[in-house]
Amino acid sequence: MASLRQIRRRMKSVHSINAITKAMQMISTFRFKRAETRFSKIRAYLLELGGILSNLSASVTDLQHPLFSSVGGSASGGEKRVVKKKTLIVMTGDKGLCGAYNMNLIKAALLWKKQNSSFETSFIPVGKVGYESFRKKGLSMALFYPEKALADLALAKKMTEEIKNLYLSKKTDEVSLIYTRFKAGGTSAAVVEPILPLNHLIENRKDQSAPVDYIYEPGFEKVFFDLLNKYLEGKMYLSVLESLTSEYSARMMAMKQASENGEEVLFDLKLLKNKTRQAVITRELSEIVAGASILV
Amino acid sequence: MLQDFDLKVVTPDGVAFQGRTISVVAPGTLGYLGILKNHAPLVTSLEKGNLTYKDEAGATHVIKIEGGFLEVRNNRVLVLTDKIITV
Repeated sequence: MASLRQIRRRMKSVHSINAITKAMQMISTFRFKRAETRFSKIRAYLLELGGILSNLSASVTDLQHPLFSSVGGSASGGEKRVVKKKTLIVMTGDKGLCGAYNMNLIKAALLWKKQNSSFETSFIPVGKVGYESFRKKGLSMALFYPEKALADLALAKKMTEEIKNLYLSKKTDEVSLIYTRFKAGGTSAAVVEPILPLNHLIENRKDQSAPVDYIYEPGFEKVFFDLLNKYLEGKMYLSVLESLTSEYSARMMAMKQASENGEEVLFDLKLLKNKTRQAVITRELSEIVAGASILV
Repeated sequence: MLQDFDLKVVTPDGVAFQGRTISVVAPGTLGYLGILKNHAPLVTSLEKGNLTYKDEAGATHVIKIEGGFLEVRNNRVLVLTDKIITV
């Protein structure tokens, strides 16, 4: 059996770990709330933007735009492009200690690589954990953004711009995005969504709404493409924020669990400590009694 | 009867304004444009400039915006902008 002093030492360390996890839980609760507010605001913005976009998509007939691909004989033009190189944007966190959050994303990313093994694949990690992991594994990275915590519109704009350039300079033929979708109170799941080419934006909206007879200023194409660019930026910003929200939510849960576990361990240790102390007293007593009986 | 209609100004940081207005003047790419009730459906890009609107009481308000889009449909004006500089 462990000595009383050893047990006391263990209790002390468990106690201080517990204090840390509790503090982290509070911090992530606070950050989660802030991220969620930002996330819901940008979602409202993107919803309105998407609304206009679907109204416009209904009147799309023949488009010539470098960010569209005509693979599959779709009506929306762009140049023909055979998909050889695929890129996946992986939105992980900057830090660990959030349960299986990062692991799930990286696992899903590796699965994606396996599924697309007939293509030349590359990754764009966003967030430190993903970046480090891909670097250690020696996977090819087209771009990387090791800092996600400062997620703001400027970062989203920069990312959109650089990823667009990557596509336009033919370093990749298809860009997808994997991030953790946020579900309030529930388990968040990693999802893959298409980003470039932009065909997916039009295709699933086309049948949804009847064309509205708009006046376009300065012209349909200019307005439409500007809108698409804005939407892409917004989408990138939204997914950064959404994955951030999920990360904090995951960390909140993980830290809550850790704190509860800590309490449990502490309770058991306390019991053990009392038992040990009692045993020590009993032993000393019996020694004294035994010693006394010799003297008499 | 007032000739009023809905105006909504949305940025990535939230809804900046939502309410009834009598008139809206927006900085379109091709120059400032005025919108009254029953305007035809319109989509335009906006430049950096002043978005002016008159509320139901007739008071004029100015919002400085940094480019974006404006949509008019069914007497609803929607302004999407990146950033509002001052309200």
